[in-house]
Amino acid sequence: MVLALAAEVSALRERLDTHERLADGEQLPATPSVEAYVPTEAVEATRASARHSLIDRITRVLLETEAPQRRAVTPPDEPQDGVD
Amino acid sequence: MPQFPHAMLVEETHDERSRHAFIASLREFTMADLYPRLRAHYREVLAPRHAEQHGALPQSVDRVRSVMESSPFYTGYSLLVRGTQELLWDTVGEVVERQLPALIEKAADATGSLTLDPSLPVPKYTSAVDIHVMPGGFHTEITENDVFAGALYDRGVHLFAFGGLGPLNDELGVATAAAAQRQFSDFAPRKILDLGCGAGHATLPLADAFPAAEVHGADLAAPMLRYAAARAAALGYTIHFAQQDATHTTYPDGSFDLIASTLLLHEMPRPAILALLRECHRLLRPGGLMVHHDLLRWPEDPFDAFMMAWTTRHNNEPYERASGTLKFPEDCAAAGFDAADVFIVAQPGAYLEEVYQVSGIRGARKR
Repeated sequence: MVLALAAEVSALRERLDTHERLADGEQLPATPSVEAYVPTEAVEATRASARHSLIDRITRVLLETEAPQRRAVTPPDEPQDGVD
Repeated sequence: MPQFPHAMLVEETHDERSRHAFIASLREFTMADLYPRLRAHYREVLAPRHAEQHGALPQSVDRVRSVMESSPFYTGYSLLVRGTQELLWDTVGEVVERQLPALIEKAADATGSLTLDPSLPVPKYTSAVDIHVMPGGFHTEITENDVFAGALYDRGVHLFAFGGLGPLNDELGVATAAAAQRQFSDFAPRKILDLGCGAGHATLPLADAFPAAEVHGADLAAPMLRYAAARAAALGYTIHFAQQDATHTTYPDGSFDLIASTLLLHEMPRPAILALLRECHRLLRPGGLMVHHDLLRWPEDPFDAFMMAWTTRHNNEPYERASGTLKFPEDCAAAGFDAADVFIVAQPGAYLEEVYQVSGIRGARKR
């Protein structure tokens, strides 16, 4: 349920991003131009990074079940700034 | 790496593309990020803790299992990977369903070579479980002239591998063909058979590697074959696809110079694999070569062995271990091959090479 919801949130964010990028190009974003929009490699990389950030936030609880125990075995002179 | 938009590939709306991209990102996260963390968590925390409590590191797969199953991190990992798998098929399935009539029409109009046998029974080892948790597995037909499973698998496996199989999902097949080429540099097969060809991802690379050969693809599943034939035609290939059981086909004795399979054996129980090897011996001409690209051996490390069996426990691949524990020279000899002609090679780009380093190609030549 959570994963499907997250996929929908991600799709909505990308749709909004498409609207904003089209509007930035002074194009009135109508459905056909949104559907026809093809992200450049740079835009796709930005979106991939946003997806990974979203996944990191969703899975924070899971990652924290592991991270504190790993921190406990990290030598004390290494930075201990949480999830790596 | 985007998938090549051949004529049979499903089309996506803006939001469908975004949902698919999210699933590919989830898959990448679980495999490239979460799995190494899980491994480190076991090595650095769980195994040392076991050693502290019991005086030794976990020595057996069963012991690793009890350690892992008491770990919330492992439980969470399993839930996430299984949940992603179900979401993948569900999300792509909706896109395929929407376009199914058009895809069926395209497949019917395609010029590919296809021979179906509706009377062919689907063996229980294939019908009893939905392999990979893919709804209906490979063989189920949900409508007349159905291509649903083929269209679902083609798009789904690309997302599953987060693009890692290449734009045509063919990199494992390329490795299979390269292994056959590398093993015998003078090998020039005239007739080739790809067993368990599915959507043809590993069939087309055989045609690329041996352009003078006549190439056949055999599979149990009609929806995969209809899709494979149309996909191959759309990509400009002439391949002869047929609905056949790889353990007893209807091809005459000595029909082929090269018989290949890519990731087929690990979905079959041991008796079926042995029957397949016997069938390969019957179908090969003298001097012919069979090459099976699959799990080469089961990992020895108990943690790696436990994790290798994750797909058996949670991804509906009950026979995965059967191929990993084949005694290949002996089993080939029992099928009629000379054990001296059996080879086992590691091939760059082979299955799970990066993760478990147990992948490889096994082959034998018929004298």
